[in-house]
Amino acid sequence: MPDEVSEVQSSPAPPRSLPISRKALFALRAFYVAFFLVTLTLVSFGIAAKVASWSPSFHDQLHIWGLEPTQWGRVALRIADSSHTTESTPQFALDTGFSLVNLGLAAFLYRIKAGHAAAPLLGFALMGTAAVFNLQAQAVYEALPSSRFEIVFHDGFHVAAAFTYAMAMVVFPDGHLVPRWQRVPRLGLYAVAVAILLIPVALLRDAPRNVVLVMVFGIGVPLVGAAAQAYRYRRPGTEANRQLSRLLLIALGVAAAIGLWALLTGLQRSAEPAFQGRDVQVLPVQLYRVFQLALSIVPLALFAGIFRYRLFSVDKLVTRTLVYGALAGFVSAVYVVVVVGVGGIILGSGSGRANLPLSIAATFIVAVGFEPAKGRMERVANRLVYGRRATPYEVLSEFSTRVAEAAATEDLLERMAHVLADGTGADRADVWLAVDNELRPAATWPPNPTHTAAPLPIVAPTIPWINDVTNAVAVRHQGELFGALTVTKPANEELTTTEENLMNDLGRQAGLALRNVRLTTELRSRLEELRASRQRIVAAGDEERRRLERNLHDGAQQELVAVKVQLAIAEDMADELEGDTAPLLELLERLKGQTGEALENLRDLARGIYPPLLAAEGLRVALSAQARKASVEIELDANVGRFNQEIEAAVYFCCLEAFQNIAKYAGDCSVTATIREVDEGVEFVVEDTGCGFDRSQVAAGMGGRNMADRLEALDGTIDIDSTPGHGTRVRGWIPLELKPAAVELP
Amino acid sequence: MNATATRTVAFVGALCVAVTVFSGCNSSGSANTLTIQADYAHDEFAGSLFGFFPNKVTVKPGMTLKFHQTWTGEPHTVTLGTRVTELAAPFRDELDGYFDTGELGGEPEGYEGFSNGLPFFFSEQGVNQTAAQPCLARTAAQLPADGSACPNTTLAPFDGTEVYYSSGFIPFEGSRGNTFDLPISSDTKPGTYLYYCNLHGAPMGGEITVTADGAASKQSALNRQAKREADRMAEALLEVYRDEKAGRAKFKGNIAGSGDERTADVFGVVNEFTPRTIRAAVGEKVTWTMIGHNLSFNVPPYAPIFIVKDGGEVAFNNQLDEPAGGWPGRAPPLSDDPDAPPPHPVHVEAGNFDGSGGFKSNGTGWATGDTYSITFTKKGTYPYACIVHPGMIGKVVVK
Repeated sequence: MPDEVSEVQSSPAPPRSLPISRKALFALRAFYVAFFLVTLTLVSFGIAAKVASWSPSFHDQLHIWGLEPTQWGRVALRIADSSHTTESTPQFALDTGFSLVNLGLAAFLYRIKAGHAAAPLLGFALMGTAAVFNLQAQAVYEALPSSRFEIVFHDGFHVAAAFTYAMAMVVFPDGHLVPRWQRVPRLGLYAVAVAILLIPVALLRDAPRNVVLVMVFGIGVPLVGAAAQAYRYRRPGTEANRQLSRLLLIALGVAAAIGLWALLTGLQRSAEPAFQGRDVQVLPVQLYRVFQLALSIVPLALFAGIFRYRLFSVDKLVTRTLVYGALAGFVSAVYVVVVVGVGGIILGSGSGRANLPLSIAATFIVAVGFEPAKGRMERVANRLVYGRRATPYEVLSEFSTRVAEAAATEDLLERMAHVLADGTGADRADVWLAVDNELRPAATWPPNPTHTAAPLPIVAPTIPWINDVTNAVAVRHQGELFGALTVTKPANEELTTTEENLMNDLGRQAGLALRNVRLTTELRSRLEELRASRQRIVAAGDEERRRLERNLHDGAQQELVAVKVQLAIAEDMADELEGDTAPLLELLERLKGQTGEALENLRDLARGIYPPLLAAEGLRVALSAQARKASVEIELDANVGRFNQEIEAAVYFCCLEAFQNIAKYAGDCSVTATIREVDEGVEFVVEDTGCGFDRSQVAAGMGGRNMADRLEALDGTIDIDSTPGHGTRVRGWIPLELKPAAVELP
Repeated sequence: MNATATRTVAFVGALCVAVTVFSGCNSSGSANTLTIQADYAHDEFAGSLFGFFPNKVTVKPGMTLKFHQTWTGEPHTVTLGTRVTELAAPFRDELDGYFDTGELGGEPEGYEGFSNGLPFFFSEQGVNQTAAQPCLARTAAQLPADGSACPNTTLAPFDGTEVYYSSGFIPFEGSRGNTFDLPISSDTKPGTYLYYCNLHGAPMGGEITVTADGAASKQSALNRQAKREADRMAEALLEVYRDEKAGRAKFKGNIAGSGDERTADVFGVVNEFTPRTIRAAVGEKVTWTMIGHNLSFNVPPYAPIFIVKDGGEVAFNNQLDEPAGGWPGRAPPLSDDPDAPPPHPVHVEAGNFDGSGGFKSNGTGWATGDTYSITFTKKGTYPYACIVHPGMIGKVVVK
């Protein structure tokens, strides 16, 4: 039965995310796809040229198509013509690899949810890079003088790509334009930047157009981007953003430096000048290699930053790709090894028919090994992508386990906060408890004892607004609000969808746990109250007794003592009398005796109430005195020091009670009483070897109850063990220091 | 996605859409037009193939034949008419055979009458305006014999009855951009009409078959046939060119141009400097064997050899004129006397060149085997070209 997590509070993002209409979003995505296809097409032309250089029939077909007076004919003719001046195969592989990697990265970025501005721009930039810096594709384009349409389309595409690349480098990573000036001065700055970009265009006026394009793209964009990122790095911001800016600044700086070096050393002249309007078919390989290198640095740096700082949620995509790529590799490897390898070795190469059983064997191995391999690869991919961070589902399952096993122990909440922080990649996570109409912070991760937020009153059925958090989720159980979970991410970061879902799921799971925690808290406070009241009662009782004893001592006892003294004086006076004073002396003697007895009784009574000996000399002496007076023989071992009043009283009266019980029920027994310090507390054991009593027969009686009351009021324990015919053992223990009420649920 | 990125992307998108919409394609593949290639740029060498590819096409009245010329430096015309057909009658069979097989024997019987009876692109005065300008002559009187332009230089759809119908010099519109449209009138009588280029002669020609009931040629079939014929012609040229590149050919060392006995009967030519890059030391004499062409350093940007002036006159492009006093390195004039001992091979020592100023070896009068030598006195890279042929470029790297 899912608990409701009805309301979710997201702190308003900084005002960069203007709502974008669905139509606009659709248009953007359509354009992204179109750009991608155009780039892919241009790159494929280069591939086609290389293929035509290997395959004469394809080359001839291209020429036949090339005779068509259509745009397609021009394309085919270009491909056919350039197939004679293709790069060497390794160079071609480098070019194509470079372009395909950039295109692949751009495909990843397509999946970024709307809300991150830098991602789509970066995707456009990567696609532009893939097209511009593919030398083979460029050669295909250059193979024919271009029609106006072709020039505008081709160059326009490249200019657009360069522009978006520059924009991507400027707005990365948070989507804002920099610097944060007023609009007019900022536009002025941008105009100046564009003008600066045109300088290399002017310097390179003599160079072929594609060289100019390459140089401007390769120098201008890094320069603009580096300036923007330098500005960002020096402004205050979240640590993650500053690190990303620094990373990109370094990458762009290196790229710009390489480009400037190329410009200064005149590398562009290694490209054959378009000799005075004549067709040139020489490929400026060096130039392109240099700029490919320069412009690989940037995406590499970006993706390193992305994985380090979790900027775009490409994690699931990447893990899936890794897993499936590895699985494909696994399946292929099995087939290769079994069919080709084993087949080759055992059956000799070229045995076609015998491959069927081997193929079956390979299929069997794949079928059996698929699941384990997938599981293993998922773990590896997760470790690669997430590092020490758990995947969202690991977080959830870990949390469930903790909730299950930790019931309501002290650090459950802290662990909850820890798991929450880890799972969402937040700087800080808090767990709040709703107690007494207040939302109180109960646990924080990372632990921060110095700074705790103030409790917030709950006025509505929903959780109150919590400041300075990125997201807050209410925790409910069966409709009742028990608390809240909040996370604080670095500034300007939002939770990804995955993380939001995780928070909601954690919130649901946390309902029961928080309910238990609250119950436990309440229980604990009740227990505290209870103990306090018991102590009060006991203390009151003791106080009363002491008072009584005082009164007796000061009052009745003193008077009796005075009477005894008077009687002694009367005896002396009677002695000096003549005549038959014997009956008088006898009477006086008797009176003295009775008074003494009364005094003795009073003393005993007082001692019974609260022996002064105990207060004065402690347990050892007081108990020894009692032991001597008892009717059975008691062996006492009480070599202990002094303790506080309550403890001594408790031990004394318990032992007394035990002695009395033994005297009453035990018959002819010998008794040992031991008092010692153990386990940071005082323990007393009174044992007798007598007849014992059946506990079930004899009601615990006031004695046993009294002992238990006294001891438990002090957080002590009592244990009475008696078997008929074997004796009784009373063991009690009182801690020396009272600890706060610890709650142990069964 | 925030507003900034949306604006950026919208701008870029609008740019691209505008480009696509307002530039438009230059395709013109309508069902009513068939395209024939005039000349052919082979992709393995810069050169000229003097022919129309394919040289035979079938059309229906009302269609248009588009002649698409790949500019290789050579001017071409498309010339038809009853006079062309009549004068070619004596050797029509051999011509047909050439169209079909690509094998050219010597000059056939009756060819001289053909050449003399039709306007030729050049005259003693220079460019023959009759031949070089468009001409529509329905009667013999409308075809001047004095080299002046035809009275009617505006063409109408060809209907087969014209005495002389010529495109004139197909003007240069950029490499691979020259086109000439030949509309076939809907009342053209079915039959086969011969056409040719009046600069390069009858072998650079073809046949247009007009049919009323049958089917017109398909463009894809025309393209395939074009490729076949072009490859056929280029075969011998390629063989020799490859040999030259490998150093196995008749002439060793640096060669300007290409060809030997194997290419003598091929109606096409490779226009290349072999090797394209020559490495030399300062003070070292660099020698080329000239197989036609010229070597021009520091020449103006490429311009076609002929221009069309305002008013329609076709003239030599004066950008390519020599300065007063001529360029250094002019070859000695050829002797007109066929009995005089051959002045060739001629060896021209052009002297020192330090890279400044214009420098051009004279292009006419070379015969195969003549040589031309230059001594470079300064370090540097010196690109040069043949002034006539745009793809014919090379460079000397002097260290």
